[in-house]
Amino acid sequence: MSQRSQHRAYLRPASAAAGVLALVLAGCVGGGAPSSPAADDGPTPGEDARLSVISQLGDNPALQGVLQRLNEAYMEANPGVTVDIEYLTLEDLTKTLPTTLASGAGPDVFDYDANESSLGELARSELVLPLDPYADEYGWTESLAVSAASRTTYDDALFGVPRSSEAVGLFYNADAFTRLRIGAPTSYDAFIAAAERLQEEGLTPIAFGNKDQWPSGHLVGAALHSMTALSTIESFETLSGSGSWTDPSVLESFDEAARWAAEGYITPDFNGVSFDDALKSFYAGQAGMFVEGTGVTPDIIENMADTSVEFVSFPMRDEDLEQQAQGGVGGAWAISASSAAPAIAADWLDFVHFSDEAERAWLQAGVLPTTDYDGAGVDVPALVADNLSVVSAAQEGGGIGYWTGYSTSPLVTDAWNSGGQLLLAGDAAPDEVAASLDEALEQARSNDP
Amino acid sequence: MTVDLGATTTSQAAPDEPRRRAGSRRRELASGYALAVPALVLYAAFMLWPISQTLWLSFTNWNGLTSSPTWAGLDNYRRLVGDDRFYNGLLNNLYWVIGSWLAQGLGLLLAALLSAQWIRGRTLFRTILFVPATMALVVVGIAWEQIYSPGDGLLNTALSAVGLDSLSRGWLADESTAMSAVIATANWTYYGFAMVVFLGGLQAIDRHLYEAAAMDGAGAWSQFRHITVPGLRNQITLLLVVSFINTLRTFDLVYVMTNGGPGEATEVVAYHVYALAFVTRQVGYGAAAAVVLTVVILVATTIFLWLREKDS
Repeated sequence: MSQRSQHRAYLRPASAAAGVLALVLAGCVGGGAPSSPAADDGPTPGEDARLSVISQLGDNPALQGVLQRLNEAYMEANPGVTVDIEYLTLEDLTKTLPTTLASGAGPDVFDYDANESSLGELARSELVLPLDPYADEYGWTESLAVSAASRTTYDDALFGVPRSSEAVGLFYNADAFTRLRIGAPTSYDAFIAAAERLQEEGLTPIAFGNKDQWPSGHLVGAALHSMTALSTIESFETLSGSGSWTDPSVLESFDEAARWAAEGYITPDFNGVSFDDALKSFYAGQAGMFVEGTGVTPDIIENMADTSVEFVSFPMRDEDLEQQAQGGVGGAWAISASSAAPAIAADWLDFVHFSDEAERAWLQAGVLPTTDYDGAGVDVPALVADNLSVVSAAQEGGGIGYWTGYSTSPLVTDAWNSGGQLLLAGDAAPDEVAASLDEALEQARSNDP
Repeated sequence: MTVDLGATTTSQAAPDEPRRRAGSRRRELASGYALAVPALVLYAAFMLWPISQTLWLSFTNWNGLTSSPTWAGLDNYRRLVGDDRFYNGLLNNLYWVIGSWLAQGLGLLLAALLSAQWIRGRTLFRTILFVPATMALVVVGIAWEQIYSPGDGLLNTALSAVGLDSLSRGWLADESTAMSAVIATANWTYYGFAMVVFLGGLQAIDRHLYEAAAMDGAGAWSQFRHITVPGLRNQITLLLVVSFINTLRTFDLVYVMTNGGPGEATEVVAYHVYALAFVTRQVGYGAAAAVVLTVVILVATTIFLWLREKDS
């Protein structure tokens, strides 16, 4: 079978995707009375303007192409508007954007991480515009899924347009599983059995690299969301909550993740392996499973075209809990408070995210919608359909949780970065790590007005 | 009349001379200051102003994003007193200082070897050995990160090739080896500088001392210990001070190779300052840590130089 025909085999009828989407996106943000945009909006749609945009798709050429095509279509429809897009990696963006915005020299529009610790901090520092007037004007309020909008809503104001829905699940090399006669890891016992079997066969059971420090949040977070009720997680993953990381079920999940490392289920010397290298080992078939968010799907499709890869919900360790998943949204568009053309910026956002043309293009590229888009008439790769099923299962079950250690404050993130490395290496006990996270959380909460 | 005129002329010329000299000196001074102004302006703009800003920020609370820091008095300094992570960084710095002595020792050894007249191609060897000192630390960090890479890194591959598989590990991933691995990388870039400084010093030592010592029956080690090392006292002092300062303010390699990890195993104070100011957005607290680090460097350097002067 040629590569092209294999690729076609991934395509499924749109109706399947549409059906799933309808489930995923049930319940959107309720529509309120439309309010007017800010008084000083600069040029309005139809007038001439120049927009600068920074996107965090710097390391994703495939998705850059999608945005580029949409942008060109927008400029063609609005000949008086010129939009310059700069692509940065998330790491570079996170390091440079906040201070650029604070200096007043930021871009008109940018794409930033959507949680209290990142976009929320910019909002608290009044560096981004509240989008509610535009949300009402363009109907975003009705279109956005409640769960997605909640990640960019701070103090009851919408500060970002969530760019993609994401959930962490379990990618596995279906070809290897078939060849080795391993059952699909759809239950926790099956997941552990698969890890042991892959290990016996000399493969790395779970590709994992934590040199970049953040991946530990995704791996440990998978254990956490499989053992701890979402209401408990929410109590310590939000600044307004009052919960603690020392909850017994949290400690138990930390212990379980550390056990995976101790048993050799994850890549050896993982603290010296980068995320990219770990992902490459999965591409190369050296590892059988990969615990990661739906955001890597476009990369996996592109790099494993000749391999059958499937994606399932990370199985619940505590079977009394309904299926839930770590995640949220993968990024959000925001408008700088210093933008000279916020009305044009909002118009551009409406086109590149909410138009039918944009929704279709993003979904085809593997980016899951954050709106009520039903995907009618869109053929999606099988792996994207799997993504949608996983998101749907969590939405219908216990819900989609948070990016572990990355949701509330940079202080907690910093504590997580070192704590996650030590926990998985067996150099710190779960209660020690939890105590350092609690200390950081307490400080963050005391700083939050 | 003529005499009178002459006398008048003479009496007028005498006081004019110092005035002319004074005027000339003033002009020289003025032109000197004028020439120094650009450098002073640059120094004030890029050194004094940032230093004063850092000092001021250390008495404030600020996330680096809002327009106005809030006055915090000495709170940041009080907090620093109980900050275990700051002390951990300082200890890592001190470990690094001690580790850097190895590079100086290696530099001294190589300088002594490359001074030997019987070695052919000394200039070529010196040039090759100095190359690492010319490389950007970021490039060095990335290259050595690959060398230390778990599994197929050059170091582990080399160990396997000579039957030492049991020593293979993730050098930067292991809490017990990460700091030493980073220090070894830093030493790789530093020994060449030490070697060149020592080579300069060696050329100033009178060769007759070695000849006299040899005639008295002194061996190579004895000559090295009693002639070479004392003759290089100034170079040793210079290198100790320079490496001490460089090591305490080191940042690049840690940033590139480990991000301070695993855990906080390789976190030095300068990296901690960066993390405070730009990762956790505690700019005021980070500034306080930077001020304390600067004071530590100044005090330690002053004591060191004072002891050196007293000793000599």
